[in-house]
Amino acid sequence: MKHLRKLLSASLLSLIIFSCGEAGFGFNVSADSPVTAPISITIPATVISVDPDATSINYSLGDVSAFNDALRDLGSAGGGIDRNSIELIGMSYEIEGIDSEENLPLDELTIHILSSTGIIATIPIETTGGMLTNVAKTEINLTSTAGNSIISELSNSSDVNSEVIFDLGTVPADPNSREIDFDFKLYFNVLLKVRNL
Amino acid sequence: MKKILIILSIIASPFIGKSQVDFGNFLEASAQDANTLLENYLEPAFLGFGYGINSGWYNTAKPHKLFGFDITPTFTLAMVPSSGEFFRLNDSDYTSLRVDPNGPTDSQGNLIRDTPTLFGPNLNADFLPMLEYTDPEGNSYSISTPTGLGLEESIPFNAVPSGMIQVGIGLMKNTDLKIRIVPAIESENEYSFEMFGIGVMHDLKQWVPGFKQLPLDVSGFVGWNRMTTQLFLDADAPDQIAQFQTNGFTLQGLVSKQLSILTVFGGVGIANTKTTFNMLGTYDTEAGTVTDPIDFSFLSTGPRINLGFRLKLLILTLHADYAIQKYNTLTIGAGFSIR
Repeated sequence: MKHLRKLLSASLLSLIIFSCGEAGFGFNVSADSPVTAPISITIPATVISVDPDATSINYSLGDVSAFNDALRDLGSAGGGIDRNSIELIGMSYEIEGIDSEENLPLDELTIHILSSTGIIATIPIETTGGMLTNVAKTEINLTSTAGNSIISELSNSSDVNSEVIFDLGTVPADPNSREIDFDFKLYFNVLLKVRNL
Repeated sequence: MKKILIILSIIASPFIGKSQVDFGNFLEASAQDANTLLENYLEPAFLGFGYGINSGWYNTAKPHKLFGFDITPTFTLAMVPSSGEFFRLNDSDYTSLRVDPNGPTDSQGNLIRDTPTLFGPNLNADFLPMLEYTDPEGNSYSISTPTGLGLEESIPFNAVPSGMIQVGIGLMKNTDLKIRIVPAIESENEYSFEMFGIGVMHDLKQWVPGFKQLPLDVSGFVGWNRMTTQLFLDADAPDQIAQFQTNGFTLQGLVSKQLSILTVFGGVGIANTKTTFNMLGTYDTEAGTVTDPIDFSFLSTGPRINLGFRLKLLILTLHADYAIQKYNTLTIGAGFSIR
């Protein structure tokens, strides 16, 4: 039986040696993963234009469990990845948790992509009828500049920092003052390419 | 579940190593889907092996004289047909997986759904379909399907190798009994292996008036063999067994003509092969407990025609034949033949 096992091992090894085609062995893996930012807006007792503070969102490839093995294969332990190994398929966003009586005027919704030196891309988001309301997962139209900036950040450090800015219009006064809490979800649909395993 | 993945990794040899970990984790989503996907991916390997060990039964239509015998090892290559190089991923065949609609497309813009089998071409992952899984939280992940070995890029054929050894003994009435046997070998708590095959070749000319004068040998042949391998996966869980079994059946009419040391032979008939691979027992996975998680079964029946030659130098024989069937086979062998 020992000889049979050796024979089988040798056959398997020969098969693998002969089997290395030009393309080699590799795989693509993609994940459309959200980063959830809880947002709280205080409505004051007087009529005023409310501009809540920017909310920071950090997306890290290392936080996506589906990428764990791919990142190891890509040798990203030092934080960087070959730029050709990353594709940004798209981005989308979702707003949830707003009650119907809490709809507020929303003048602008903007996402800034940040680097250590400051804002490197600005992504304006089209609002729904000028109101802050629940929004089902919706694709964001990315310019190639914004897309390239995000890929650069991901290839340099495996993560990307951004901030979301809600610019509300004039909010009706509420004598009791109150807080509106909701979640803003930013989805990054990223593809990693692992080659030559 | 890791144990299941290790076994699957071994049989899907090109993915031994890190990449299979990714794919294995992905397949933990559904054992049923893993079965479907890997059964399709591995089909040519199992079918080819089945056709391979069903070959090499004879190299002449002339039976031995009484108590004459031969010992003949053979080596067979079962050629994978072009239809065995790809399989189609239909979403309806899977419960938790589907082809990612954002995956690669062909030159006409159609989503690629054909993916290589183990014996298919070696493709860059950019040209492979991506399988998508959506977790209970609604997050979706996709990963490329495995690529093929791409054998034809390195060697001029795409074939599954196998080997066999048999003994033929001449009995009365121009009948040969052919035996393929490896008595059960078992290493406690590790593995067991056994093989048994039996074939009978019988001269037909003696029964047909006038045929005796024909300058040819004409025989009928029927053969059956079974090979079973078991791996005992865990000494503490004796029900956990990986079992690989191949059955083959062949029924042929044979003709041969001896010209000095050269014999030309051929056969026409049918061949049937059935190969199964099972993982038996109960296994704990992250998703719960699964019983008998892997159950592959590959069955093929069809006509078989072969043509070959044998050289006999005193008692040494060298032979080769080519059989046309679903998986065409090239068999070569060398042995000893007395009387």
